[in-house]
Amino acid sequence: MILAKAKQPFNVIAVHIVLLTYTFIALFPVFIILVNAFKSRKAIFNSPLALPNADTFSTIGFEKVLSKADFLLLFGNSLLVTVVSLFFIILFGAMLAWALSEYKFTGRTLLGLFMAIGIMIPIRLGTVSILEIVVALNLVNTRTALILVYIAQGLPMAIFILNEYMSQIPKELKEAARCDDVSEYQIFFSIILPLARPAIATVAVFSMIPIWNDLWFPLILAPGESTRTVTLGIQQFIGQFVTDWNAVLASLTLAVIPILLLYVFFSKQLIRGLTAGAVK
Amino acid sequence: MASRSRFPWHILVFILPGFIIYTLFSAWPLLDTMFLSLFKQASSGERVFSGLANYQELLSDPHLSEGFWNALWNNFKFFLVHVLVQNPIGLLLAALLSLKGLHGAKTYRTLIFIPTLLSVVVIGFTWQLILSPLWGITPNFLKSIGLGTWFQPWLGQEHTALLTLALISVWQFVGVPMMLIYASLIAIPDELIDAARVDGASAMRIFWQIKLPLIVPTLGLVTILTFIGNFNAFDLIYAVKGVLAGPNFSTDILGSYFYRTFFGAQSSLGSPTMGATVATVMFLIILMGVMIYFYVVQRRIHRYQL
Amino acid sequence: MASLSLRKINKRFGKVHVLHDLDLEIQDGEFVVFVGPSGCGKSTLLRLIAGLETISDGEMRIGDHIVNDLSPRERGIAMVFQSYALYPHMSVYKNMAFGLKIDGQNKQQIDQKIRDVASKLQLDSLLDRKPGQLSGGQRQRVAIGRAIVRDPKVFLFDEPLSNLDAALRLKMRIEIARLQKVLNTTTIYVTHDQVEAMTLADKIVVMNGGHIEQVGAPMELYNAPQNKFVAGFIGSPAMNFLVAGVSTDNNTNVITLANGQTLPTQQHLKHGTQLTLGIRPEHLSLYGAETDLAIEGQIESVERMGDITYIYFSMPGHDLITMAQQGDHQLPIGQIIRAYAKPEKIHLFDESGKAIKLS
Repeated sequence: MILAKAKQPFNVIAVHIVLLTYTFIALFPVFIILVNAFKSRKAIFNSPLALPNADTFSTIGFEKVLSKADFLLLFGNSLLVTVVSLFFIILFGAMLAWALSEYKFTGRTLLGLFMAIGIMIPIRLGTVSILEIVVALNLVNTRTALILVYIAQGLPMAIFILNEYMSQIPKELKEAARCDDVSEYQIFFSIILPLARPAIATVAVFSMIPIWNDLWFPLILAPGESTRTVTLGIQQFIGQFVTDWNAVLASLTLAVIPILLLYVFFSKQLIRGLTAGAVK
Repeated sequence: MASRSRFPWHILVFILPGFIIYTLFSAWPLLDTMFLSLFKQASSGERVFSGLANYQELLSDPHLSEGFWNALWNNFKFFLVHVLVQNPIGLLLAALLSLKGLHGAKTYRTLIFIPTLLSVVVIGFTWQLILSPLWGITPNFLKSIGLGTWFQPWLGQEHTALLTLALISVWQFVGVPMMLIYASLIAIPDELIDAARVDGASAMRIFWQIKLPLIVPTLGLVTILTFIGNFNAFDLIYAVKGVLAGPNFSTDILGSYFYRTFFGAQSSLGSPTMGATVATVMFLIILMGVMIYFYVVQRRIHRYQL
Repeated sequence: MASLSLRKINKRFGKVHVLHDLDLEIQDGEFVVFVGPSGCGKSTLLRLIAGLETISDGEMRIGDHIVNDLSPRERGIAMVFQSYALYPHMSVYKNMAFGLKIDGQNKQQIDQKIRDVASKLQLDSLLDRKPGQLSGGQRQRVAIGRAIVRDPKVFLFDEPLSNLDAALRLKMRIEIARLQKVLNTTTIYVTHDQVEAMTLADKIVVMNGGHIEQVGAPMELYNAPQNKFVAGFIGSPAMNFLVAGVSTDNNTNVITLANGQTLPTQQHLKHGTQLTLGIRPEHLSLYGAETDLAIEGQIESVERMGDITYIYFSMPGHDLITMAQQGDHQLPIGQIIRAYAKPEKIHLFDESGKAIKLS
C-alpha cells in the first residue's frame, strides 16, 4: 500500500507519457517529411506513414531537385555567410566587450547602452534604409551585404554575453601580464580570448541559428541566383514545384538534414550554451 | 613612464570595427528609417519633407489604414496565441524536465528542441503538406480517432488560417521558453526543494508555491522576447501564404504588411517612405513593449537571491 | 519524540554502493552526531533517514514503525539544511507556516506556534522580513525555528554551521546544544567538524567510506578508539602514528620502535607482528619518568599560541610528530628533543588498523 510512496514525489509514468507525447508531436512532422522524401509518388499518397521499402523506395525527388538547382551552391552560400559572420561577430564582439569591461573611458556607459539597443530592437525595422545603404555601396546581391548586416545584428547579444563573462576574469591575470610589460593587444588575444572560450561558444550558438535560417535579408538584399542562401533557395524552389510532391519533400529533406547532422554532433554544446550560467 | 600619458589607441582599436559596422548597418538605418518616414517620395524619386503626413495616412487613410489596422490586430492575436499556448506548454515541459531524478530528461530536451532549429520556411512548408487535404495525413488521422468530420482546410479558411499559423509558430518555437524556463528552474537550489519535501509539500505544491514564484522574472523575459519576435515576424507568413498573406489578408501581420508597403505587391506600388513609416510604427510598438517590461515587470518583480 | 533504529541499511546509486550494512540504535531524546571526512556517506545517511533518498536495502524504524517507504512528512522529521534553504519569496513567518499549513492546521494554531517558537529564538521582530534581508546567523535561527515549529519526532541537521564565521559558529553551537536540552527531541546532526561532534553529541557515529567505524560517547571515542581511523579522526591536533614491531627481549615481548626504542608489554603479541603505535600530541611531554616511552627527534617547527605550544619534530621514517605542551615554550629549531609518553596513554593498532587493548 505504501510501497512506492517515498520513491519519487511525482508520478513517473505520467511524466513520461506527457514528455513522450510532446516529443512525438515535435518530431512527427519532421519524420513524415524525411520518410516520404524517399518514396515514390504513389507510396507518398497511399501510405504516408510507412517507411520506404524495396517497392516504394525512390530517389526521384532528389534527382529532380538536384538537376534543377545547384544545392551545393546554396549550401556554400549559407555556409560562407554564416561562418564569416560568426567569425566577425565573435572577434569584434569580444573586442568591444573587452573594451567595455576593462577600460575606463568617457562615454563608456553610453557606448554600452547604444550597443544594447540592438538586443531589444530587431534590425529588420531598419530594412528600408539598409537597402539604400547597400545600394549606395554597390553591394546588392553580394554575400558581403548579408555578412555586414548579420554582424550588425549579432554584435549586441555577443557583447552582452561576453561582457558578462569577461568582467568575471580575475584581475590578477591581467595585472600580472601588465607587470611583464605585455601589450594590451597581446593581453586580449593571448589571455582574454582563450579564457572566454565558453562564452564564445554560447555566442556562436546564439548567433548561428538565426543567420542560417533567415529569409528576410537574403530575400531583400541578395536574391540573385548566385548569392542565394539555402533558406531562400528552398523557399523559391518549392514555389515552382508546388504539385511535384517528390521534389518538394526532397528539397525540404535537403534543407533539414545538414541541420540535423550538425545537431547530432553539437547538441550538447548548444544546449549547454542555451542554459549557460544556470547549470551548476 | 611616458606611455601613461599617451593616447590610448588600443581602446579605439578594440571599439571601432564593431562600432562602425553596428552603427552603419543597425543603429543608423533605424534612425534613418524614422527620419525617412517624415518624407514623401515623388514619382521622380525626389523626397519631400512632409511631417507626419505619412502617419496620418497610415492610420486613417481608408486605402492604407484598413490593411494596417488589420495587420496590427492580427499581430495581437498572433501574440496572444503564443502567450496563451506557447509559454504554458514551454513551462509545463520545463517543469517536467527539471524534475529531479527523471531519466531521459536530456534526450527529451534535445529532441523537443529540434523544430526550433529548423528554418521557418521549412517548417511552414512541412505543415502545409501535413495539413493539406490533398495528402490526407491529417484527415486520415482524425478519422482514425473518430473525429473525421472535424477536418477542415485550416490554412485555407479565412477564420482559421491565422490561428493555424500561430499554432505552427508555437509548435516551432516552444523550445525557446522551454529552455529558458528550464535553465531557471534547475538554478533553484536542490536544498530548497528538499526543504519543501521535508515540509510535506507534494510535487504539485512545490511547483506552484516554490518554483513558480521564483521563476517569474524568467516568465517576464520569455514574454517580452515572444512579443519582440512576434511583432517582427514575417518568414512563416511569407513562406506559407506568400506576400499577400491570404486568404483575403486574414493572416497579414505587421511584418508582411511592412514588406508589402515597402516593395509593393501585385497592383500596388511599393514606397520606401511609407515602408519606413510602417517600420517606425513597429519600432514604437516594440519599444513600448520593452519599456513596459522594464518599468513595470522588472521593477515590480523581485529577483530573489537564490 | 522517538527512538530510531537502522538495521542493515544499504544505499546504492546505480552501481555505486555508498552505504554498507549500517546498524545503528538511537535512543529517544539522544543527540547523535554523524562525523567523518567528506564523501564518507554521512549526508547520504541523513537523507535516507529524512526520506529524501530511498533505502536500497535494510530496515529503518522510527519509534515502532517501519518508515522505509514513508515520505519525510509521514516520518515526522524536520530538517535544517546547510544553506538554510529558506524559501526566498516568503517572509520568515510564512517560511515557518508553510509546513504547518500543509499539515492542515488552522490559522490560530499556526499563529500560536509560530509566535511561541519565534520568542524562544528571538525572531519576533523578524517575522515579516524576507530571508534576503537577514544576516547569516538570523537565517540560521529561522531555519531552526522552521524545524522546531513542526514539533517533529526527530530533528535532522545537515552541517548547519558550516556557512557561518567562526565567532557565530561558536554562538550557534551553544544555542543548538541549549535548545536540544530544552526540547529534548531526538536529534541527528551531521558535520565534518570533530569539535562540533565532541561538544554537541551524546553519542558520536564516526563514518568512513560508507561504513560506521565506531559509535560511542565523545570521551569513549577519545580514550578508546576502536581503530586507527577513529583514533586519527577524533582529537585535534590528530594523533601521531609510529611504526612499531614486536620483538622478544629476555623472554618477554617488547614493542620496538623503528629507532630501536622499546616498550614492555604484557600483551601476548606474536614475534614479528607489525604494529602502529598511536600517541596523542597532548600526551607527549618534555618531561617524563624512566618507565615512560621516550622518543627523540629534531625540532622542525614551533608554534607558540601563548596558552599552548605545538612542537613539530622529525624522526627518521615517520611523518612529523606533533607535541602539544601547555604553556609557552621557547625552543630553537634544529634542537634534538626527547618526548615522553605515559604507557597507559599509548594506543596500539594491528596491521588491519584495529585497536589492541593494552591491559
